[in-house]
Amino acid sequence: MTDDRSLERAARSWIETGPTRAPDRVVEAALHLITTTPQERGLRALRPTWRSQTMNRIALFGATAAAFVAVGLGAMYLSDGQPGTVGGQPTSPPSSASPSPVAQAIPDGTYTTGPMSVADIDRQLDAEESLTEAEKESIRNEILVITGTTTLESAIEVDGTVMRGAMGHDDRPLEWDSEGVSEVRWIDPSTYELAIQCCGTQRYGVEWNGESFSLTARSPATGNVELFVRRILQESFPFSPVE
Amino acid sequence: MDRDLVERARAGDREAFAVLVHQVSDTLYAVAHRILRDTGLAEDALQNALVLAWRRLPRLRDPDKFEAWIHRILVHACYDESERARPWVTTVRVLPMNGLSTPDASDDLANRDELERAFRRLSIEQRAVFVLHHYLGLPLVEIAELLDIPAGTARSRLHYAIAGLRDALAAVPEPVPQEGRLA
Repeated sequence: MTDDRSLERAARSWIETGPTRAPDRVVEAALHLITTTPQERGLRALRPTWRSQTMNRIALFGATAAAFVAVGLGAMYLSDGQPGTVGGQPTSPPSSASPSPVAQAIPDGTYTTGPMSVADIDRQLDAEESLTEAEKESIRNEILVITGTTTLESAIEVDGTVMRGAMGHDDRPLEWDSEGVSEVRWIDPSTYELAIQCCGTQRYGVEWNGESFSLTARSPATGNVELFVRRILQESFPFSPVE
Repeated sequence: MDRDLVERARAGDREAFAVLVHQVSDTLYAVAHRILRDTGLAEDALQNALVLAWRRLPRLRDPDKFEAWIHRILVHACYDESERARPWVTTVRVLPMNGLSTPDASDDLANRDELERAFRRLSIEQRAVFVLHHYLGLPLVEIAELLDIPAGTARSRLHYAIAGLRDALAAVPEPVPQEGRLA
C-alpha cells in the first residue's frame, strides 16, 4: 500500500470522509454576532459613525475613561514595568495601605472582573444622592450603556509588557472610541478588545496585591458623574486571574 | 459567486452577507474539519472566519475573488484554532470485533487509522495545503495565491505531507490471513 498511486487513492478516499454540512447553529450564531459587529472601514471613516450611533459627549467620557484604563496600564508597563506608577510618575500609596518593599509585576494571564450585575450598578446609582436623575440616566444609558443587559464584564490581558483592556456585555458589545485607541478587534462573542496605540496619559494606575489588582484614579475629580464612574471602575471591578 | 451580493455585503448589507454565508459555509466547515480533525475547533474556526470576513469585507478589492479570500481567512482561523487545540481530546477508534471484518475491510480500517494519526502529526500548514489540494482540488498555484505563499512553499508543504502519510502507511503491518472465525 505504499506505492504512490495506492497512497494517493487511499489519501483521497480518506480525506473525502467527514462532515460536508456546516451546523446551522454555528452559522446562525455567526450571523447573530454580525448584527452587532461593525465593518472595518478605517478609523477616520469609522469615528463619525460610531459617535453618531452610540456616543455623545458624556458617553465619550465613559468610553475615554475605559480606554484610559488600558492606556494607563500600558503606559505603566511600557515605561518601567512597575505597578503603582503611570507614565513613569511615582505613586503615592494610600495612607491605609501597607508599603510594599518590592514592587511585583503582574504575572502574565487574563484577569476579569465579572460578570458584574447591572442590578448592582442600578442599586448604587439609585443610592447615590449626589447625582441628579438626569445624571443617573446618562450614566446608565450613555456612559456604561447597560440598557437591556443583565451583566457587564471587563477583562485585561497581561502578556509580558503588553496589557490590553476589554469590556463587554452579555447581549451586546460595548463600542467606544477615544483618542489613543488605534483598533477595535473582535475576540469572542461578547467582548471587544482595545489595542492602544499611544499613551502619555496619567489618569489611572493599578495596585497589585499579589493575587488580584484594582484600578486607581490619578486625575482630580471634575464632577459627580466622573466621581461615580471612577468609583465603579475602581471599586466594583477587582481584576482576578482566570484559572 | 454573485458579484452583486459581494458588493452589497461589502457596502454593509448584512442580508446580502447572510446569503453569501449560506452559500459558502458548508464548504468552509468541511475544509476546517478536515484540517483540524476536531468538530469543536472546526466550528470555532468557521464562526471566527465568518465574523472576521464580515469585518474585513470592505478591504476586499476584487469581489470576484470573494471565495478564495474567505477561504484564506478560514485557513488562518484554523491556524489560530490549532494553537489552542485541546490537549485532552483523545482519538477513539472502533476496533473490529471477533474477526467479523473481512481482511480487506480491516486492512482499510488500519490504513485509515494510520492516515488519521499521520495526518495529525503534520504541521497545520502542511495539512491546509493537503486539504486544499486533495479535497477542494485546487492546483498548487492557486493554493499559493490563496495562502499568499510562494508556489515552491506550497509544493514543499504538499510533498512533506504526502511523505509523512507514506511513511505512516509503510509502517502498517501486512494483514495476517484468517483461517477461521471465532464463534
